[in-house]
Amino acid sequence: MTIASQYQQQNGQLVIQITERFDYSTRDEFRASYTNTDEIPKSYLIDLQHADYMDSSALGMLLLMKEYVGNNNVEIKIKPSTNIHKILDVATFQQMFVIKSPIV
Amino acid sequence: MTSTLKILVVDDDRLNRVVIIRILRESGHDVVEASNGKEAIAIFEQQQPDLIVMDVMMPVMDGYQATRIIKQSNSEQFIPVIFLTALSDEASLVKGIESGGDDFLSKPFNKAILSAKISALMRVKELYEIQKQQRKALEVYQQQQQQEFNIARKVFDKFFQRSCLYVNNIKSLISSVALFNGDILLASPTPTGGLRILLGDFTGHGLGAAIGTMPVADIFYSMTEKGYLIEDVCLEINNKLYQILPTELFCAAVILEVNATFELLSIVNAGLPDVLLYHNGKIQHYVQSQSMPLGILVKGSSLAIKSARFKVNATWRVYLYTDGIIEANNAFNELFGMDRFVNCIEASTDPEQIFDYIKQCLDNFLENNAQSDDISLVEVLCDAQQFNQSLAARNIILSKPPEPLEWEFSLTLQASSLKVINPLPLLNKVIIELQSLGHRTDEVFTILSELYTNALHHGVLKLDSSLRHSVHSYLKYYQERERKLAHLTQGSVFLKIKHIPKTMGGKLIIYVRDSGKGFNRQGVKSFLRDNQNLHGRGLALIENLCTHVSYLEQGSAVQVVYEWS
Repeated sequence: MTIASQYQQQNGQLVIQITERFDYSTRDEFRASYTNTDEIPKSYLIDLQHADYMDSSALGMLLLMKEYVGNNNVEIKIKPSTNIHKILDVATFQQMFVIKSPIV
Repeated sequence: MTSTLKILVVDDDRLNRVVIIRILRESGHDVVEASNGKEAIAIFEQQQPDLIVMDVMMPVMDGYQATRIIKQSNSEQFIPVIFLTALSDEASLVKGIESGGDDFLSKPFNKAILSAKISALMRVKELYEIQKQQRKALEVYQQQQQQEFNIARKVFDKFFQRSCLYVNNIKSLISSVALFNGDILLASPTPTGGLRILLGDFTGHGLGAAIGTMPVADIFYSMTEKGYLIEDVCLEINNKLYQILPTELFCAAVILEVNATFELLSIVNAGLPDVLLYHNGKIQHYVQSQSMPLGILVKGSSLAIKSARFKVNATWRVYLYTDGIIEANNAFNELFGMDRFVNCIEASTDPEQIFDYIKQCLDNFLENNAQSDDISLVEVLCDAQQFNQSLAARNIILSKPPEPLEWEFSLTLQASSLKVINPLPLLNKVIIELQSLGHRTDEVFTILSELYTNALHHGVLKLDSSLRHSVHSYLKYYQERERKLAHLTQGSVFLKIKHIPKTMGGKLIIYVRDSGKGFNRQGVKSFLRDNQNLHGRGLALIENLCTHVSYLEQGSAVQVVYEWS
């Protein structure tokens, strides 16, 4: 299990934590993490601080999530590791997601 | 046992045969019989039974040999053979297995045991048949896929034949199956005599990724031929991909262009790793991705595409690559990485050898962990001579020798036109048709594009340049541009272009006037000194390229003179 998600009652945020690799193999699990929720989250936090690898299909998966969440007022925040921050940066994903600076 | 089987009973002892045959008939099976091995083979060929009950010791040919022959000549099928033996005889059990027997039955014959053994063997046979069918289906499928692959390959090859990757100043490494990895490499001479290259990397693998390469190639070649700028090509590819691809599929790409004199290099990097510009033993510039990969953002949204420009000469080398090379994994699960890559380039003493050296480093690093399918790497040497010689060797003639003519035309765009028309490709095309400027055409396009952009952005739309201070607000600037343009109701841009021939070459006079209030050139000048980076560069560039620049009508009009020979 490399993906764990938890809904936080107090602020209505769905936290999705991904460890190890974030790539095509985690596709179904990742999709399930935000589609199989009982509550409708007010915001999302994707925690990639402990993931060490992300590929371009994972970028595509983030876009699918953005499409699913739909509403532009719902914030999707990403907390990347240093490596992943570079990948997000190259794709200039800060235009579509709120990307926090990695903790070095 | 519910189904009826055809069973061959082989025994030289008639009494034994009768006992077994009776048991089998009582269970509802059809039975055929033989009294020795040789006969068994003949009857087997004739009757094709489902199962054989075989005695061991028989005259003419024993059970072992008969079994071996039947099994060998019917290796495609599973024909269960039950040997009739004495349980105590270990050696004959072993020999029975070796000759292809599947089970044993010892005297006295027990009906229940025989039926159970037959059922068990028939289950095995059934599994064998299913597996055989599946294997067959798989083979057919594989063949079909290979055929389709070959057809696709042929179509794609035809499609990509337009590429001029054969020129001597380009070295490339792109896997033969790269097509289905979603990597794409295109190269084309520009109508003005320069060189344009696109390297793209689609998300995902397989056909899905490959499909997107077709429109990319189509747009790249046709728009390049028509004289569109690389930014326009990028935007068009983005719009097309956005239209046809599902959300999660997109294309990270770099388009670069060197002008006809190979002195000016323009690069748009949309989502690929840093493009490396090498000169004099070192990487001089790392050209970072400045915009989203293509196919993600809808047309007219915040996608801001702007090329980075560099002065180069024949000793500069440009390295384009997809992330495959950086992420190449060796047996110890280490990544090749950016540092190792840059070291390879900078460590070479002979620049001519860099490309081969990178390949060698990569091979050594990966050893047998061959993964090179995912690796695309391109080196472009900014050497006009090599490029032109390669083209000439193939009898490709790009531009007619310039012959100075006299002409003049003007164009006025009102608000409603400004909203929907980008006149630059049109003007480029008209100028190419009217006047071959040879190697200088690019410079004229640069001047025109800067002048028009200034007139539109500052004169008509009144955009605030200071928004372009930082990369972050740069984006805002383009959002603001889109927003204001969409709501434009008033304003106009007037362009007049005149050419006067001289004995050698000619003089091009470009006049651009906008409906705005004008601006203070002195203010911009001092600003330029303070800030070298993001904006206000256009005017400096124009002043550099033209022999005269004058600001008229309080700065709402500008006239430049460009001389060529």
